[in-house]
Amino acid sequence: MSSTLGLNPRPAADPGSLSTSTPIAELLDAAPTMLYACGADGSVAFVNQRLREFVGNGAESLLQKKWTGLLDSNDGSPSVHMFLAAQQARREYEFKYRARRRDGQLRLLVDCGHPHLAADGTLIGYVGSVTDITAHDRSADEPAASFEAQLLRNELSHVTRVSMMGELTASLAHELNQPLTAILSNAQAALRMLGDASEVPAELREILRDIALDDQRAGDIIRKVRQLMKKDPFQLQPVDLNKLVVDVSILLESDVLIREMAIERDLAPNLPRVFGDRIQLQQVLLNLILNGLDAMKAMPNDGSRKLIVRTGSDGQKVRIAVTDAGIGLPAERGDLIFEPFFSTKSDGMGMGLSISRSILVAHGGLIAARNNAERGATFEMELPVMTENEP
Amino acid sequence: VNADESIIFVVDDDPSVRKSLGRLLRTAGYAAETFACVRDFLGREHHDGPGCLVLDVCLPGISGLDAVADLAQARYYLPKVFITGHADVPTSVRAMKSGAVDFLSKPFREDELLGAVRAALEKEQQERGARAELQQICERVKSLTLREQEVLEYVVAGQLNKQIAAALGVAEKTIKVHRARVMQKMQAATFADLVRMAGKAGIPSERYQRDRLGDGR
Repeated sequence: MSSTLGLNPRPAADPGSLSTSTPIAELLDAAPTMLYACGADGSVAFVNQRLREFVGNGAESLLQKKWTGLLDSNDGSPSVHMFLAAQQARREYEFKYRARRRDGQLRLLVDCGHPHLAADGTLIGYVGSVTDITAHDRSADEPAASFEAQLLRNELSHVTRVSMMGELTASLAHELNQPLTAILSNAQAALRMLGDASEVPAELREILRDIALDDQRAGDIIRKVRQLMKKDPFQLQPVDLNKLVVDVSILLESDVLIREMAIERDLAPNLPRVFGDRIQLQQVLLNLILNGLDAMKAMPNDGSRKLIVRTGSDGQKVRIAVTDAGIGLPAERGDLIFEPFFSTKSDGMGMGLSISRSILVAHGGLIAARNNAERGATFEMELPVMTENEP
Repeated sequence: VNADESIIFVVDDDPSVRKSLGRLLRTAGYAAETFACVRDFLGREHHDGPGCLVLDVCLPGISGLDAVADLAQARYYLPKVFITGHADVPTSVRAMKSGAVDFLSKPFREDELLGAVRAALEKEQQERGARAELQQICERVKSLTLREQEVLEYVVAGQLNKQIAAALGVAEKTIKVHRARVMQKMQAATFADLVRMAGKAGIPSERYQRDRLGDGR
């Protein structure tokens, strides 16, 4: 019975098992996704070229064993048990899990299995496909993890770029306006000191006047650039911060897996909604979570690299607290972390927290950071509860 | 007020800015002192004379805006001209609401700064006049005897001599004498004058108004 399905991993060695075996097996090998087939008892009968490439040397050992996916031994979810249970119940299944590729990299996979039934309903076996949905280093022609997540990612990176430019221009304008003020005031003070003394060459006054005029010209340019870079107006709408947390953590699922870390959500029930710009608030949370993950990078991978996202409310304010178990805030310069261009990361621009603070302040909220009693830091964002007269 | 006693205090954390603003103000004929932060300014000997503050909005430590309360606590009533290199609408609204005379975006021209300083000094002079008048009124009120103060409260609350006499349990003639002494000591030419001065000093006090209502029932 199972021989009708038993696609041989080496079709050339046994060309007779399917009437059109060679072309089909070649076709399966050519497929851009990982495919497998197993018998009614779950024993693996076939794996295609892609799957063999993923597993590497161990591919042969898959055969004759029961298909329990390419589960990484460290990863508890889904369990081997879940595979066997689904197969026993003749159910279709779709499991998401991570597995180590032959080069040692952790990948996020989706494994879909379909029962293959005979005309009388008896189970012949399973055919299944495994898709690598890791967002990391995904090239454009590979399938996206989910269309929505991809859309959100694009949207966020656009908003991030725009607010980055806005913040950058604002900081630059501020820094440049100081010397421009000094130059202008000095030139005008000098003109006053010269007064109408006749022994002063006329051109000296002209020079000072030119300095003052050019200074004002520079000031006008900065003002215009700032106006140009003014952020888009807010797209205000009621926002459920619990949903925001879920959306952002789904977006980061593969990042978290690759980094061998975990995000735990502790969401308060019946959380009041806030009134704000969803994308901008997502951007803040994304930034806080990524910072938390970065902070845990140097920590030993002993299962403690866990980030907790907690929501809560006192009826007036809604809070999201992001607690990491990382290196913690810099001991001395803790008050500077929200300032533009301040970063503790070697590759950091120092804009993330500065933008986050701007966004929250514009929402009538605030952001604060503190070191945890044990290890790591907690960042807390706070927003006012949506009032009734806000639509 | 002697204009020569006026001092313009510039508080800005940027050394070049405060140096140049100090120069500009001095060449325009003002006495100017510069400070890097509000704390430094408060560390200076208290200036009771006329003047004004030119304050940067974004200062390290306490910002110029948050310093308004600290300045009031240190009994500084000097008008403020805010300057900023980072003007945004919410900040400028907050600054103007806090009682600022003006809000200038850096870089500003000398006529903008000098105009704002002139307006601040005028405002200071007016407020100083009002404060002096109030102080004078309070001193006159203090010079009244306790009974005269009581009569003043009743009088400005609109009570007739007869009613006051009844309330205080004395003869109406006595009230008339007290009343004349009150007018004299308060240097009030008319009854309206007395009411105006008393109003500035917070008389009739709430306590007396409450008692009066109690009598009315």
